[in-house]
Amino acid sequence: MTKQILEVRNISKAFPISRGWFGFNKQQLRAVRAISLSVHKGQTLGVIGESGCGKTTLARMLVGLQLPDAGEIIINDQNLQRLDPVQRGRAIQYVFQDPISSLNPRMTVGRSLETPLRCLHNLTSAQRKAAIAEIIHAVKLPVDSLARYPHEFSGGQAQRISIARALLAQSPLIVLDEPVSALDVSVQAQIIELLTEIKQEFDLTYIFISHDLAVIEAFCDQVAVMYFGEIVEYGDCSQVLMEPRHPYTRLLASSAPQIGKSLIAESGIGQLPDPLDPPEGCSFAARCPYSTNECIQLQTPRQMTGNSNYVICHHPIANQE
Amino acid sequence: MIDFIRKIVRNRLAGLGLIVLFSIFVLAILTPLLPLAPPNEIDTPNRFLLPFSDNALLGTDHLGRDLLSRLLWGTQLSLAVGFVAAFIAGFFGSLLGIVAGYMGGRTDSLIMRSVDILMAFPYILLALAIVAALGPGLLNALIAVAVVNIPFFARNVRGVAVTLAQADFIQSARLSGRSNISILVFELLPNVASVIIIAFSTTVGWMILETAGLSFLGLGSQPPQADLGSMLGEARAALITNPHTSIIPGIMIFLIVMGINLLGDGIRDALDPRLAKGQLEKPSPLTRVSDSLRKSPPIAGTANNAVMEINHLSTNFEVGEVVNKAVRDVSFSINSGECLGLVGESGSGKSVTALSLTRLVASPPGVVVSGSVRISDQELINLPYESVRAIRGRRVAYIFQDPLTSLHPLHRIGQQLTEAMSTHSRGANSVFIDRAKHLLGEVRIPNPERVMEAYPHQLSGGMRQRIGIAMALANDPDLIIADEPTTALDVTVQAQILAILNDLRQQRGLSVLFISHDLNVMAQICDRVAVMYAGEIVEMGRTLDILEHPKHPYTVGLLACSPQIGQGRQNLQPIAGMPLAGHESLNACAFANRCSRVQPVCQKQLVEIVDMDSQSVRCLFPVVES
Repeated sequence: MTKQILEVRNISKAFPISRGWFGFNKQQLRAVRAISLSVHKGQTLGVIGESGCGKTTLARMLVGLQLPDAGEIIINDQNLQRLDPVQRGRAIQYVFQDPISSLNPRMTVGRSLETPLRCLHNLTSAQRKAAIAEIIHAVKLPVDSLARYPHEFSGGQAQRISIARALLAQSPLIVLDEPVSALDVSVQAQIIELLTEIKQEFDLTYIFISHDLAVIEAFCDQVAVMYFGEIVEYGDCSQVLMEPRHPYTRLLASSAPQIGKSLIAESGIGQLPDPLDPPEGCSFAARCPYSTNECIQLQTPRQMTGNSNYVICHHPIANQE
Repeated sequence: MIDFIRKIVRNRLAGLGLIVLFSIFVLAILTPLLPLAPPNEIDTPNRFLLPFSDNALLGTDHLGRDLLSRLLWGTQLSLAVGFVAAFIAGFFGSLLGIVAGYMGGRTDSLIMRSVDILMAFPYILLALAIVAALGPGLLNALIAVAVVNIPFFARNVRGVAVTLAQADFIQSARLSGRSNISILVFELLPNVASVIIIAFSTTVGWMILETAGLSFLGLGSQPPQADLGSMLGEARAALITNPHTSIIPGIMIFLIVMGINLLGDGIRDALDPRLAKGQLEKPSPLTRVSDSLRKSPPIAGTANNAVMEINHLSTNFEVGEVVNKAVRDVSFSINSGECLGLVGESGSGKSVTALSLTRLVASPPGVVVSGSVRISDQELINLPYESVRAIRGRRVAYIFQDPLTSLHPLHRIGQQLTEAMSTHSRGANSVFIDRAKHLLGEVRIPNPERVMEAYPHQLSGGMRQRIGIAMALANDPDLIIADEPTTALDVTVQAQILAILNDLRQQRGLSVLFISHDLNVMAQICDRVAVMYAGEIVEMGRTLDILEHPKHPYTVGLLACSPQIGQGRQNLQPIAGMPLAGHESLNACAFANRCSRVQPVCQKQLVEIVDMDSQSVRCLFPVVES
């Protein structure tokens, strides 16, 4: 196995919410609860979940845009919280979902791309030019892009620019937060192809966040399935998605539309629990067809289901083999 | 810069303001060079000379001082004081606003509450208090006016900075290693600059007035020094006997402030095009139909069993000279009880097609330029507004992507459902309420009574889309047009909505036009599919035929690049290149520039859609399986 590049130990995050008159009634909105993860160099970890599952909060904590309430994030044996912003930017980068809004509308693309070189690496003007030329070529952007403004680009091209900026920071680890969700399928495939190419060329490690099962399956080595702020199943991507052990993973897999297969829709409403008043036991219990009293009352155990695969469930679906 | 001035001058009044203000500025700047009498030289024997007297073009004041000279020197002083005060207020106000907006939290509260306290005092009283504390004098009046206007800038700038501080590009600048100060100066400031300039151009006029007001009260410029306010103040005693002494500075103040305000409006329009006059104009309730189409003879229908038949429909977006052909010559029909899918990527014209059917495309800029839309033998394109309105919602109903935007946020669900019914039919409210509850049950809402009392924002996305479907069903329409109804939803919810739509189709024999970018979703619900590219239908046929034996290279490419679950790790095959822009005129196959099977002839002629087996294909070299 290759070296471990990222380790997340029990990070949690809750947002305080003020309610009532004058906001005296303070409550905690739970976004992420006790998540642990590890990623090895050169791998792509997919994080999948539906809206409100906390995947973006997790991503923002990984790059230091938000501080966890508890827990530690270790990148290359260094604790992220102890790094200054410059060191952090060199260690891990982030690609946003909406490429156009992640670029300053009043700044030429060239200037946006210079920022990481200037602020993270203190390169001279000539060095910056050379580095940008190399990366522009790698992400297949026309050379005249540098003098133009973000609004002149299509979504796919703008996403190439965002990826170029993340590459220029020269960090070995990139968090991709729904990088293709805002794009058309034909462009989506172009960007995924690009991500695959530059991963090889620059020896990168990815954390790929998406709500799209098919994209995750096509692109990732491992997958972590998130539900209501927790990872409910983790493991080898194709194993987990083809033979889900957690009832929620199975629900996701059967809900994704497939050509030539009719959908099995969940009965009932299928709402998430109230994040201001999370349940004691398993948060999926209310929707789960297998739930029993112990699911509602007891803390859910982690059960190993393979080499490193695990599921957090009292009654995981039996292995079909 | 020249372009910017041209934009301003496009607003005629702003152009006038610019000319007036420019002339006054030139005069003020040239004042020291002009052959004027000394402004403060007293000549009592020649007091109150009327305008156009010898040696005094505008006459003299109560001390016999030359009014023209005093006016020009006074204008120079008033402009200088007004602009300097505006710069000071703009600088400190913007600084406070930008820091408060960016830092947020405690800093924000502290700064903005202090600003609020400043604003709690009546405006002019505060200025008077400041001058009273500092003592009269032009410099102190300037300080007072600047301080009084700081809150205006601070609040305006802070409002914009707060939203920008959360923007993705600010976060990515932080990840690129920029420090807070560097973000404020290089990332945030250029984006709030337009707000600052707008605030500046609309306030500098007030500030000149306020300075003049203080001088008028004797708290600003001190005699004998002239500014416009003090000239007015001194002329006050002779207002009746010698009105010209007050009218002349009065006109000057009027011209300056009017010029600034007109120009300010122009600057605002040029910097913030959304606010420009004419842009806020309400679009017409019906898409315009081009004159040539209105005069042309109607196209006869052909299909017998069709609920809706569309022939040769073309819709353009026309902005000035630019014509964007969004829908080009689209023909299809929807049979009773059938679900037809319209699939395509963004900009392919699928939504514009759907909106054109009941002429819902915003006009301007939308124009239907050709074609016919028939619903059970009634032609829609030439109908007057009242008749189209009776068809919308009643015979053709829409389901949109996110009902949060189509539901009224302040009305309860039940109220909106019954209103949808009572618009098109008469009856007792209790009947409508019962029907609404029944409809909510049909879209599998577990507790209809409670949901009837809810407001849209209290429901989840999936629940809102169920309401959207119930609304569409309210008048038992002949056709439902569903425009990306599941795109905004999570997969598990999407599966539920698709199941509901499928059940309703079976129970009610609904005819549906289903619009989506997702072929996998299409496969779940549509009987037939039409694939759109660059405003045209490029392939149409039974869903399974199209998905399993696509003939158009674009359909083949689209299928090859959409990932399928259950296929494991795979390399997707992207379609190279970009789709055609809508304004490019078409004299070749629209897909030729991206097509892997392209031949020289594809670039030279328009391609007609032709029948092939059970499908229709717009391609000269369709994919044929061996």
